[in-house]
Amino acid sequence: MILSCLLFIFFAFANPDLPGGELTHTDFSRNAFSHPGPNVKGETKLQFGVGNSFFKIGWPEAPASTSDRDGLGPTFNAISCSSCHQLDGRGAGYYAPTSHTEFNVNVSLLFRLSNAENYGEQLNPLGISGIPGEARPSVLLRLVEGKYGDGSSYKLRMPEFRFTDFAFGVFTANTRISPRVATQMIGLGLIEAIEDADILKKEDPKDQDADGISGRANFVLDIQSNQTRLGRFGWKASQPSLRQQNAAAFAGDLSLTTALFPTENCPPAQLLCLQAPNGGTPEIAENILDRLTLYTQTLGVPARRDLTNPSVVRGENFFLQIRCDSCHTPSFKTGATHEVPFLQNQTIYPYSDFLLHDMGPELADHRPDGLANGREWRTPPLWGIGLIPVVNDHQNLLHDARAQNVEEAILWHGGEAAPARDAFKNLNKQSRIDVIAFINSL
Amino acid sequence: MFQLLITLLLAQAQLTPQNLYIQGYAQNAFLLYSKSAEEAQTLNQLVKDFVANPTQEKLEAAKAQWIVARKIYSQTETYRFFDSPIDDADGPEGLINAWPMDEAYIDSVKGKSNSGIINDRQGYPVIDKNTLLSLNEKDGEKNISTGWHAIEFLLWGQDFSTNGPGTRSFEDFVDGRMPNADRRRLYLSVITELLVEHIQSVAVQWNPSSSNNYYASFVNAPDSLSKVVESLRFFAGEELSIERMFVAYDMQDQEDEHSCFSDTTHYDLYYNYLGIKNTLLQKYNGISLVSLIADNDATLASQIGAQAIAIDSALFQFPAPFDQAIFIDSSRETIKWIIDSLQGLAESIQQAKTIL
Repeated sequence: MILSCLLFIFFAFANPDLPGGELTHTDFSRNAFSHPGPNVKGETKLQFGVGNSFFKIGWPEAPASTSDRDGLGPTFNAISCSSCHQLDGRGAGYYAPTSHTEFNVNVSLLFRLSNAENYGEQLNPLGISGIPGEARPSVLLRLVEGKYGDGSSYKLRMPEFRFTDFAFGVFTANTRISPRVATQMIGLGLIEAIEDADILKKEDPKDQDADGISGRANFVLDIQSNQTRLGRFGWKASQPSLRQQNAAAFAGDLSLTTALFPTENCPPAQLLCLQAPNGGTPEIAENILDRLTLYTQTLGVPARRDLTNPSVVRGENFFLQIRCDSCHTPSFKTGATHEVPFLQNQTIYPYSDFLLHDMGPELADHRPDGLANGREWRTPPLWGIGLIPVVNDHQNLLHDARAQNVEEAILWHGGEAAPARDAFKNLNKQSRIDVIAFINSL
Repeated sequence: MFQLLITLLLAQAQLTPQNLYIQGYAQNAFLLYSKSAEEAQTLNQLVKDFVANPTQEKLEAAKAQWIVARKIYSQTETYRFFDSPIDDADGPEGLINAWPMDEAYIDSVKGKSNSGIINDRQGYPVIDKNTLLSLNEKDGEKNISTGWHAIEFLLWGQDFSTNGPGTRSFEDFVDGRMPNADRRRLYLSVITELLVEHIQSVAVQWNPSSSNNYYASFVNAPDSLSKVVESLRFFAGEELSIERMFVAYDMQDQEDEHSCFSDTTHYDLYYNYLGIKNTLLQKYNGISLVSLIADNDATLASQIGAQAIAIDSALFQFPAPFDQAIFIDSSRETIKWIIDSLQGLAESIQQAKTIL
């Protein structure tokens, strides 16, 4: 009796079936990424709804009668957070093909820029009435062939981005372009609630344990405290907190100002942009950013599926055997200090170490971001990955959405991950299917 | 013929109470959408009269009918939130009811006297249904320029007062008094026609005398009842109580309300709720949703009935206008009571889901 009680307690608090701890829910429909954790109740749940409203609803240009909701642009990528994170999910990256392999870039894929003084740090393809968008991106997908260890072959899509209709002159040879697609919003607060020390103890920048895996932390400016802090959000871990990540997305993607980012994104060459009316100083009041941040902190995580499926069980063993877990760390426990009590002391299974890794020339964007160099990317968490097709009708993965499923994403791994990738390639066909089945059960 | 009648009667006799309710629910959807289309058509006629010869009286008549038609439409929103014809992937909901308005995308606003499609003859030489619909489709990243609130904006104008709605003059539609009055007249009549067409397109899908429309599949689908119940839970517990009430209550921004130009948001809320209440309590073919619940759990059913009626009387005496009520302490108490009660109702409906 006592033993079974103890077992019950153990399972209730550390259970891989419940990847988000008490924030795990069991809706596996296309709303699977849109629910607060079931433990989020009372006023916090109402405030979650307020944040949801500001996440979901489009922002008009200024001036509009809905004065707390105006100020879009002058140039922008999207009119709302949910334009790219549809149903709190993941962006597809590309539209249907216009020719055999040429695609239009979907709203959910943005481009960070360096050395593009007329365009700032992010390309904004759209403009409000009377203001031109900055340029039009498109993508050419070339097919690259490869072979598994068993001799069977595969094809991967290699994107080549193109830009036309420049409003302020073409990019130069020095311009660096980093494509980034919108990712699913689940469990972000839990990631924020992990103690710095627990992430940092997995760092091994000089690979002293000689396992071929380094793992570096990005340290970035926390604007509010004006201190350098561990970066943990974004494709290169360039944001230290969800509040700053959200404010940066408002600034970069919708061109909405906040106390953290008070300046409109209008480079000196863009006169009409500079002269356009704004939606208040700042355009997003602090209480709106509070609610939006709470929303992003309390979105829950769907439970795992297909746990007893033999293929999934075998797949987990292969996943560990070929050392995917070197970077895709299965579990963390959140600390006891996060401002949102619901997030504290949760045992979670995000399958990421939240550190930067050299992913080789295969995935390099050649654009440094903070301490991250042009070959390094933050290990993305894997939770919810199997539900992306349900929520978003695709499973395009990696920073520029080039992979069309889990298998292609694995095959694109390079650099430090090349040995794990090669080990995967050398598994037999059924074993490869098992690994993919396991990952899709997360 | 006689044989057919017998067959129909036999089929009727075999219907379970659940089937009977779902059939009645669907027939009522057809009645309400048809009524809504009719009232929108009356609005369309009054708008045509107005733009043919703009006067203040004709403007007032159109505004009064907008309010009447809007009340009926607000009741139909109980038929949302389960991928029904109004808001499935191809549904016209966004074209009918998008909010908030990007006013400067349509017409001049205070601080931008030349803005909008209406004032951009070069950019948009033709204003017709196809142009406006194609603008909505462009990238999906332009704000919507049609529907109830676009019509409301053109009829009332922006609301700058703290104690009344917008006060647009009929002269905005008179040549020589306001730039591009001809295009404003055209824009208003085009979007009012579109409104009628879009509501009609939903109504035909619920027509019980068709055999290959949504009605036909809905009354025969095994999961229709659970969809209806879940849509009610969502509407009461998330959309109406949080999105449409708590956001404004919490943010305290005067114009964070759906019908901000006409200051009639209190009607939107009441008639939205009336739709929910009727779906719960009204008998269709002699059976109400509450009676279906009572068959399994009488206590829960009477609890839902009591909650539904208490919310109804509170909302009926709602402290209007909504954009002022959110600042007054006594009104805030009432609003918060309604929000919490809708949350409570949604929890009861959630319980009912498990027993139906």
